[in-house]
Amino acid sequence: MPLESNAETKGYPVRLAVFEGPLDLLLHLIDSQQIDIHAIPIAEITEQFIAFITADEDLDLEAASEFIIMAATLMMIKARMLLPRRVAEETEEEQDLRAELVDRLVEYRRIKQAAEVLRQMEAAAGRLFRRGRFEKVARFPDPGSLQGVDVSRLAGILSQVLASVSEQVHHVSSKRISFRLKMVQVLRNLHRAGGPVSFRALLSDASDRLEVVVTFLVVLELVRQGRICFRQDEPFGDIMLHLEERW
Amino acid sequence: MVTSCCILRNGGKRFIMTDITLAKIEALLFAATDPVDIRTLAQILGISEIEVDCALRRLQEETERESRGIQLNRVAGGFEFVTKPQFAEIISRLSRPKNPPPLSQAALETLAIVLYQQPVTKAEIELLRGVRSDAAIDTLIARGLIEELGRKEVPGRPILYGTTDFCLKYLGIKERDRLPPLPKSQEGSV
Repeated sequence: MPLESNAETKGYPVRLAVFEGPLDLLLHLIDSQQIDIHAIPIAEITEQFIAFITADEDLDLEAASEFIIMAATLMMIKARMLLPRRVAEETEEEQDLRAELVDRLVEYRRIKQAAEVLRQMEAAAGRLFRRGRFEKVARFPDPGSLQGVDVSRLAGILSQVLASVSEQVHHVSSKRISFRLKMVQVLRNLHRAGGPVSFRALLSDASDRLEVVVTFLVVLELVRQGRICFRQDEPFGDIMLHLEERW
Repeated sequence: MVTSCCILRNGGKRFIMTDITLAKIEALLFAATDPVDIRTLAQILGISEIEVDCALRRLQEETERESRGIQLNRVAGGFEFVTKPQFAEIISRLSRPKNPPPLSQAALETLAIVLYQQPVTKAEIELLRGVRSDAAIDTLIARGLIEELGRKEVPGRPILYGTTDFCLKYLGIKERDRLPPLPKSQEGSV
């Protein structure tokens, strides 16, 4: 029996990717053989399950791990069943594992059935139109049949289109902001103020993001060189800058 | 003026209902962007909820006639006008309906769990499905079908998910507390 079912599972034209997960695959194996969910032949099902996941060569690791955990659970139940039952505790544990798996399968089957009900409801509700449930396009013409159009025809059309498009290259020049010039400006500002100047005030005449960035870099550099000091009283508060005395 | 009456089952109390009441309700439902519930209609029209209920029943009978292209739809606790399902094809010939693609199997399973077991956490969903469900949850949130309801007071304070009103509309569910019956497991357990 195991040999026969093995061959059958390997011959399945379906890939693992069509299953939503290990429970889905397990249900498929159980349902396709019309096995009572409460009397699963663990040994056979385990073998079929493992045959299934090993048959799929391009199974990705992420998805595989969930299937492998299930395979391990199945093997554990199988192994416990094979062990001589001397200790009552072990038998109980085996029963628990099995019962838990059956419960999960029964529950998952209900979810699948509920999902099917929702699918039908989704389709039925999709046929009822409220006002405004349309794209802005009032009408779109029938694009016509693409029958008789082959690759060479498409290639010909593409080369025509490409030929008609003259090559145009646009040059976008970026504004250059001199780091040194900005440094001089910042120092001059601080000198003129004669006291603390807020960082925000320094940015008041910045024309774009790049200038803001350069100003910030200049401030960092000046702090590094010890030429200015800064203070920030609270997180995200304004930064107050002032010249070091010796400069 | 044409009038009609509505007889209540309990005690056989009679109402005189004028056609103008029906017309007003029709106008309100046509103008509304969302389903309108009975209480709102009653408040606006200054009549009892029972009278509104009777009027809606009359409207429904009228729209059921073959000469009418729209029908009264009870959804998400309210009422709205929608086109009759048998005209879906001709409507799509008029223009392209904004129908999103149907939900994937993973999304449907996840939505079923949220719908029947809400509020529910991601871990609970994943235990039931036996697979990671981040992508399905993200899809359902992005499509406005489920939303965060708060946090579960257990270690880690995981997010609790529930369905939105839009979900009820999307699936055509009449009332939040009247979900389609969950299929019974064949074995009769659980």
